[in-house]
Amino acid sequence: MRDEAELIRAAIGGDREAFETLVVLKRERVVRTAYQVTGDLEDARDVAQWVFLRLWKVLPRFDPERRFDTWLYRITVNAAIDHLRTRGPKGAIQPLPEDPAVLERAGAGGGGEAERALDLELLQKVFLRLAARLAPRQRAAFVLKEIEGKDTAEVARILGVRESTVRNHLHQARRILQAGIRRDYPGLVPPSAAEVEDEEPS
Amino acid sequence: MRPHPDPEVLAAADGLAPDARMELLRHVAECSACRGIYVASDPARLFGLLAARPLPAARLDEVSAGVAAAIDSGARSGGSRAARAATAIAASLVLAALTLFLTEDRPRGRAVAPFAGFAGVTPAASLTLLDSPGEARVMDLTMGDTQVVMIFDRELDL
Repeated sequence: MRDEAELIRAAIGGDREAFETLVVLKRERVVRTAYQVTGDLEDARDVAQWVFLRLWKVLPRFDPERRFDTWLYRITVNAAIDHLRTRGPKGAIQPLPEDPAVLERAGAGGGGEAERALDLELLQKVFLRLAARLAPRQRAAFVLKEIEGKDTAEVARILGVRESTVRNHLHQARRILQAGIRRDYPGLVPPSAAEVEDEEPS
Repeated sequence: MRPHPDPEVLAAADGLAPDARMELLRHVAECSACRGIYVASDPARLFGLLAARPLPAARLDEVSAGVAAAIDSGARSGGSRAARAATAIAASLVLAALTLFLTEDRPRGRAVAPFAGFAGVTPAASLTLLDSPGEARVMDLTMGDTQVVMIFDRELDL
């Protein structure tokens, strides 16, 4: 099994099999990033296909000394933002349960093991609904930092902006998302250990 | 369920290696007690747990299949084909313009559109038709101190 650097070098040289292996390696993060930015899975699939075709075309000009993942994320985020600007955010129309108790159980959990697990499907819908209120760059910065786990410097490289700009985008995004959670979905956030201790009778 | 991580690890999850971070997020998604600590400072961190949500495998396979099909239809060579076509069109336009210019009937010895040059960048230039024997054209191009005499003749064989 060839390692990633070897696959990239082979793909640069036009090795089709190496490129397709690279697609399999990278497709999940490309689709996930595009999905969280556009808010629609089918749009994310289209964006991902465009990204990999673009990659196939421009890969012969890629400098192997550069960071491949940064380059790939940059193409992905730019394509997803373009798509978002053209088509508009889709997440705002996500259907959610009306019963607050359902949301509360989804987040905080009851006594049983199964109930304590967070309902990630529901969390996804909540995110898409709240993230529809973010500007495209704020949303992309938040997705890269909080969901993809990139540090601020890497997010800045991907977005092609200064770190201070990224910090500003993240601050704005967190402010909007926190306000949305506290106002509309407080049951999603379980109480911290300190809060539980405060509430217990002495 | 995986063992509970140390609260300090929960607070510093962003600095973990990708695999370790993913394992931690899976635990936090399952455990409401750790989740409470994880989001205590910032409720928006809750959405970081979406990294642990698997995507439908069918969608991922569609991406691979779509890319392979597009490459089969010549996506990589498409760019160079387009570039070749653009080059051919541009060359045709240049040839057509040159042909029109050279076959136009002009009186001998008259200066044609003298070029004043860009101030401070290039010297003034002039293009003059010197002679037109038969279908041939003899032209004089003068740029500053440089003079070039050009002969255009379709029968000329160098």
